Amino acid sequence: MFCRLLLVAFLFSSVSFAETEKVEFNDDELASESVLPVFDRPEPVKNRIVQKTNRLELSPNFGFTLNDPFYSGFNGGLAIGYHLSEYHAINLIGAFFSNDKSQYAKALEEDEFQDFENFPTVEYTLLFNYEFTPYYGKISITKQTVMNIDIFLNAGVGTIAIGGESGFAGSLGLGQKFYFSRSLGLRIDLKGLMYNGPDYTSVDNGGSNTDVSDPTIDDFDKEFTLRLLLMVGLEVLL
Amino acid sequence: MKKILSYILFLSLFLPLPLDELSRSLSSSVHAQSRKKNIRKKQNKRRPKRKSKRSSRRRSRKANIKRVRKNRAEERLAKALEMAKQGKFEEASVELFDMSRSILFRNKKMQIKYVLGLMLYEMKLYQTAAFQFSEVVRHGKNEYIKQSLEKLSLAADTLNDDTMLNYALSKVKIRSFPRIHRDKLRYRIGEIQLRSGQFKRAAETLNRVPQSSAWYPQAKYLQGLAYTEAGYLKSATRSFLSLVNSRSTQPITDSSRVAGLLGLARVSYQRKDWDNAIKYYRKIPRDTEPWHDALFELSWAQMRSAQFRSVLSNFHSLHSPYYEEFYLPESLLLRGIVYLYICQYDEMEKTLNLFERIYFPVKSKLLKYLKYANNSSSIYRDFDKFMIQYDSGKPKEEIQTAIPYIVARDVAKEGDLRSSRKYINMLNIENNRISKMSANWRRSGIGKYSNKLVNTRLRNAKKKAGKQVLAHLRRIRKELAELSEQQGFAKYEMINGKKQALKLKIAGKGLKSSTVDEENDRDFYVQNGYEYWPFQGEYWLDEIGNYYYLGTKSCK
Repeated sequence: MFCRLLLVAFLFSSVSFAETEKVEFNDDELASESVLPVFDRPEPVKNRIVQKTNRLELSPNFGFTLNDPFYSGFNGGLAIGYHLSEYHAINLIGAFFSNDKSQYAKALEEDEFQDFENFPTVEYTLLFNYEFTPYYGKISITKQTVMNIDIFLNAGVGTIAIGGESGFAGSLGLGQKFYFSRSLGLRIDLKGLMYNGPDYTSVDNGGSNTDVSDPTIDDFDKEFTLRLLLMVGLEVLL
Repeated sequence: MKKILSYILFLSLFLPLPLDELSRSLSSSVHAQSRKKNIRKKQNKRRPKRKSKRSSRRRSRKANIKRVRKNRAEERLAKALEMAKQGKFEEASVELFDMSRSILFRNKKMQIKYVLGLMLYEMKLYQTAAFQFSEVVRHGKNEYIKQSLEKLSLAADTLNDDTMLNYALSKVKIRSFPRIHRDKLRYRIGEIQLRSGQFKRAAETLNRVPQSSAWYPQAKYLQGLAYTEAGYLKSATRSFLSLVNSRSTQPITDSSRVAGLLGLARVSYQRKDWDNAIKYYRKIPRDTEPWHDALFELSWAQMRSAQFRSVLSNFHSLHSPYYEEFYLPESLLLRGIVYLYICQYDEMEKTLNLFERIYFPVKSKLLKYLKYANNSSSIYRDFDKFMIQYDSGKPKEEIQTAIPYIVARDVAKEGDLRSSRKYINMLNIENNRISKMSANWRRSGIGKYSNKLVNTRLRNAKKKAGKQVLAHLRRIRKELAELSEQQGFAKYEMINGKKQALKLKIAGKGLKSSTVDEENDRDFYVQNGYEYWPFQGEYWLDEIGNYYYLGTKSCK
């Protein structure tokens, strides 16, 4: 035992000592190493502020499509998830898409190259995802406050409705969450939605030489489509 | 005879080390026998011829039978050696063991035992081999003592068998030991002298290990310890400094260098040279095992030099969840005392309550355990059960242990127990080796003998380890009882302090309301290239050891 006997000695002289001693902090005690201490079972973090295991997650979100030349692809939806552990989660995400035309589509319409008015567009998607969170960390923006973050990867399968018909869809995504508190955070999600969609250039619907006046999904050639979605949402852990 | 001589010549030319020794031993015994024969011939010449023809015939018949037996015995030995030469150690050991028990070979018993020991050593059955060598040494008056001692000490060293090693070292003469192993021998002798309390002699023995030796760092460390134990603190400092300097070209995490630094820090502390103690403790790299101990001991040194904020900074690390499996009762009390100095009674109460919450149940569980645990074998079984689960990586919650978890974990780090467990482990390995031998070997005399010997040693080693566990548990029980008493004193002081503070408050001179140093500029850290993170309850591995307490003294 290291200087055990001193304890008692200190105890009985404590009050007067407290009056005279000054609490000091040495600047030369600042860290000089960037290595990690050795533990039998090292864990990167203990006493996590944001603990997700066995918690439900609700996430209303809003987003848009990054790579659709003809439609803006604004979408909004809701995700409901369950965290199996700090690293693994499953969720169900549903999103509805608007059929607003992009500036580029409008320009083509003005020049009578193509009329996008009645083209079948993506209506909604419903995906079942597995989510893996390999990284949990924190950032400090103002020095006085700390925000916890995590980075996740997800993959899912589900259905997509285009022009009244449903088809198979798959997705791969990457995202980050910023937590304001133990239960509330902001979620940013970049998702690649993959499906067999219509090739809008396979039907000529512009000007007087139209192939079909009111095209349906069956009139279009089908091609593999990768729709990149950027979604931002609130995350509420219940 | 020619056959044997030609065989020896052959052996000395082609065999590796053990068999070279074997041939040497054999040739020397042959010379000894021829000398004896000449003497006997001379004696016979002097005797008067009194016997009748009949009795002389009987004598010659007996002599013939003897000669035949002897020839057969020599053939058998030669055959055994031939098997050894061909690397058939198993077969050779079976033969040699039988021979060692036969009356026919009583004149060559020590030679056979030594060769048998070599065979077993080659088969990596170190415990069984060591017993053969020790019998040769114990018998005395034979020409294999020197070689047997050498092999015995090597086998005992491999096994980590202190009893055997002590025995060998008590008989050995360093000068007669092969030069290549002399430093190791000196180190081991020094270690044993240190353990038996002969501190000055240990320091002298260890001093003879030269700097060029691979054993120099260990020897210097032990020398430093020996000087410290003997109270020669300046000499101890010199030894530790020599050790640290000799490792200057090694990485900073070099275990010998770190051990030297820790030694320097502890000696400085003992000399009440707080500044140097703090300096050396701080030099111990964070990514080394002794850093945890160093952090706690550093806190004592800082406490003695009244650097309370630094002490509390360390305790923020030491009392983080990363250390919840560590046995650190004293550190909690020390933290409480520091809070008392700075009149932070609420914090002190929390700390003392934490002590109660963690260590009172540990103490009662330990008392209960020690009340019923008297058998050293069963104590070791309980401890081993814990170690198996712990080493398998089971989380704390799932480990089932009769000994309190943090106590068992702490005891596991004790040097004597680690050494005993290493020996037990070696015996288990040897037992496995025996069980993997051929069925013929296992059924043979040497097989049964080895099995019995190793199992007996294993049983005894476990008993010894059980006694060590018991001694440590009793020490911890005593320690916890004392610390609990001191916790009571501290609590009394805390209540007293609170009462005084209340009186002052009534008189309008209460404690300072702010307990955090608001003037401490956080930009300071950032400007110096550091990241600054306010603590919000989360503990990060890379932050352990880098917490800075910003509380202030509340006393007016």
